[in-house]
Amino acid sequence: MALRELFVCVKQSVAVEGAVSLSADERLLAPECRKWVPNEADAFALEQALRLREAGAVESVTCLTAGPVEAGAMLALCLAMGADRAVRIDLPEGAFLDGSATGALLGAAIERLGGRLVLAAQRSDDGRSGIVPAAIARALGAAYLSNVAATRFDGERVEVERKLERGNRQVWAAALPAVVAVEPGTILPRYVSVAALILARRRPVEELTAQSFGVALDALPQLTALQRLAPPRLRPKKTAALASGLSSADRQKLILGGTVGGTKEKRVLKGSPAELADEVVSLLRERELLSQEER
Amino acid sequence: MSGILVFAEHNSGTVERVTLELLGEARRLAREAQVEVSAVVFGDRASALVEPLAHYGADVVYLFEDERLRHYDPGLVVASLGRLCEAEAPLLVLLPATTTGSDVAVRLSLEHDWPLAPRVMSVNLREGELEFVRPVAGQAVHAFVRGTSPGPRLATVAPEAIGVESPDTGRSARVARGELVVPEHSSIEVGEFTASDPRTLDISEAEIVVSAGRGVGSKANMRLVQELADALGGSVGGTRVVVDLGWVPKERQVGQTGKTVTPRLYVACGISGATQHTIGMKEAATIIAINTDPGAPIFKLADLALEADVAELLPVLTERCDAERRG
Repeated sequence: MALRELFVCVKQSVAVEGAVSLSADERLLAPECRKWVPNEADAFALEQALRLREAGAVESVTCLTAGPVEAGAMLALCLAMGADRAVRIDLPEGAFLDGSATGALLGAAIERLGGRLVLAAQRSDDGRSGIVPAAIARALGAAYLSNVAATRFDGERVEVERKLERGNRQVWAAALPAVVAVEPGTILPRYVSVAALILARRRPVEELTAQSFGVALDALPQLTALQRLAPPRLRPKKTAALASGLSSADRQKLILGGTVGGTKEKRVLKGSPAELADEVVSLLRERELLSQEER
Repeated sequence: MSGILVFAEHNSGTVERVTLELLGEARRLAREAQVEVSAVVFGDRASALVEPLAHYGADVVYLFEDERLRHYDPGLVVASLGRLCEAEAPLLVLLPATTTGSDVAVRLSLEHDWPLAPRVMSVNLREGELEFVRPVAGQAVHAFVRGTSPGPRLATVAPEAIGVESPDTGRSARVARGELVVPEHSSIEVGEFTASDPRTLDISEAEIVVSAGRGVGSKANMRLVQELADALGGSVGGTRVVVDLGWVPKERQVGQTGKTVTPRLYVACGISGATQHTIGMKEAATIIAINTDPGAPIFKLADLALEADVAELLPVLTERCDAERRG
């Protein structure tokens, strides 16, 4: 039997535009340099969810986010891609929730909405922490299936193919409830036309508050605290005059970093094939690139 | 102990490079905090790892050696590591930000409410407290984070973020065998593991790519490129020109209109190095370029630039690599 409703957790991610400037307490990006952008990693999770719906394994797909009003733009994109329902949990601007607290909040909301299968991106584009899906699973008492490239679901049991290093794969399976964290880049998300996006913006987004499902934001389990933000340290320039003959990319590197790696005259080696092969092998050995055959 | 514990990741008996990076970082912090460094290994053949782990900085190695650990099983690893951490109460547990390392870290953190700082760039000891620096907002800003809940601090570090320190072959480590903890209930059934075949692997996932350009000369010479790839355990790629010529299938094209690859090793055979190609491979960790033209732009990117004819050099090189591989 098909599952009634599948949940996909999405978010707007934050990008920096122009020079970094911070709020007075150095814990927030100043509004003039902060830009909300769709979290591209979510498109892969949503695409998997939509394909499960098209295969008849689930009846509907609901996208859920927690954030300020700006986060609604991501939900519009999800509706345009084909989601059936969009829900936003309102968070005040500057609410500092770490991954475990965010997951607990989303998990509580999903439990209240009756969700038993959740898909989410393995990690977001901006924070890249990968904690939230596991924390949702903990809140739901669900199995957590990570690094997923493909999901099969028969209404009761979910089986996933995990993407590991070196192109290896591993199969995991679990009964519901389950949270599936989708590895970005493993599926081609469908194209969203501008017309669909404009239409989706007119569709309603349901709003919830944490209080409405009995959660107090300051009682969520926080394991870490952000002390401050800082722009990456730029090293001072070491040369005033720009060397001529540099490519524009190298010139930029020189201005930003003070030095350019690898622009010194490269020595091109000549010799007999045997001599050159020796050079290659010694480099491969030095960098541990020669694997021994398994005995 | 209250020392620093490193989760040693390995690939069927060979220590992963990132593990060595973690040991170096652990050593540095341990000197500052005047504590010991220990490493923990899970695997079916783990004892061979003790020596390299000691050389790179471990004072103690905890060995969990069991047939059931041949492939990653989150239930077994997280329960056993959790028990070890409760017993030894390390200050800090460093794990690689790989698929397995990250998965272990997240599960361990949430199971015990221990703070986790993922993908950190550095760890600092400030006023007796550990502070983690991690890039956020697309690496444009650095966040300084501290743990607030009690217990060991966990942190994952991305491969190549720190670099490997030179080993001290005089060092040795005490070995402690750990007993595997089998959780009563595991919500996950661990199924089949499929090892990739470099010949069919998507090149964007390959660790080693051997790419062909027009300089390879003929379709018949593609055999030499494939043989070198086989000897290195790598996958074959190509430029747009050779894809158009039909020497390499389209899904193996590297560059602007093909795929972007970031392998540990990229061997460019007979590739001149047009921007349209290099845009897809310039982030490779090590680049070896073979070309007959000493002025080829690819040589500017290469760690090793060889002026040679692909058809002459490749058979010799393949033979040497084959011999090395067999030991």
